[in-house]
Amino acid sequence: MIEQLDSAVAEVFESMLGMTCCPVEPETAFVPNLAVTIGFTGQIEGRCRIGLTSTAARTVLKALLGAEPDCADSMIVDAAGELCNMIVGSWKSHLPPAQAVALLSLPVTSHEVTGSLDDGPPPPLKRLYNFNGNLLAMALRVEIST
Amino acid sequence: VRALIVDDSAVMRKVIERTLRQAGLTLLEVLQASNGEEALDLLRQDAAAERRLNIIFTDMNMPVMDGLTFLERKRSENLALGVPVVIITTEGSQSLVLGAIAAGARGYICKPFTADQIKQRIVPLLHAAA
Repeated sequence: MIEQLDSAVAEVFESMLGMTCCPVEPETAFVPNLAVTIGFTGQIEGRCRIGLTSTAARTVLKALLGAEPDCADSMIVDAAGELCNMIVGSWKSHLPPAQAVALLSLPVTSHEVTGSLDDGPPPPLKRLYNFNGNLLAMALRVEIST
Repeated sequence: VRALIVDDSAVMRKVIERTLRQAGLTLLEVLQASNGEEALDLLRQDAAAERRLNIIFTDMNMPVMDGLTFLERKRSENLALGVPVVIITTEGSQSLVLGAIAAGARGYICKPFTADQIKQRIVPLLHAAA
């Protein structure tokens, strides 16, 4: 799953934002203030949650729109939601076809982020990425239907 | 080109418009709707004013009215007949693609996408519909 997730993140950042995004060692001090969750149901069940700072989300917005876009808070939140949406969609497309059959929920955004992005049991797959000096945390919880 | 972009994300509507321009399309007017219901309203207004679109882009996963329902309602109300509809979405599963094609979509683009991919898919549709 990690390989597919890394590929999905790299693909989204390279094709849509024109920048690289690489995995980095977990950093306990990183505290995002914006989180987006997307659930999926079907042959795979679970949810993906990303966490980033508002500054990082503004960087994503600027990369998506170019030049100096309208950086209203709603647009920054919207950009973070679309980033999560594209990563989950791309990750799903990297799975074997039988597992890729799952419907995505609409993104749900929160400004209240707990220290660890997703603490519920069992522990989710966690990953931390760096793009242009910004950090992007991910927590992926997946259950494959039998 | 006169286009309609239907997506619940305002950012993604702007991204699609920007990518169309990067792909070399001359956009005379771009209508925007955040769900299928708003899009149907715009198409009804166009029909009443006898205006014609050249192409429609729609997301699939939207609140209020999703892309598939929009396509079905558009067809049942005989709106924008002959105008190619292209799905732009993260939902790339085969069943959704087939459902969208059956409901009248002419093309399918998965996010993430590039300007080149948009150009390759869109230009032939515009030429065929001209």
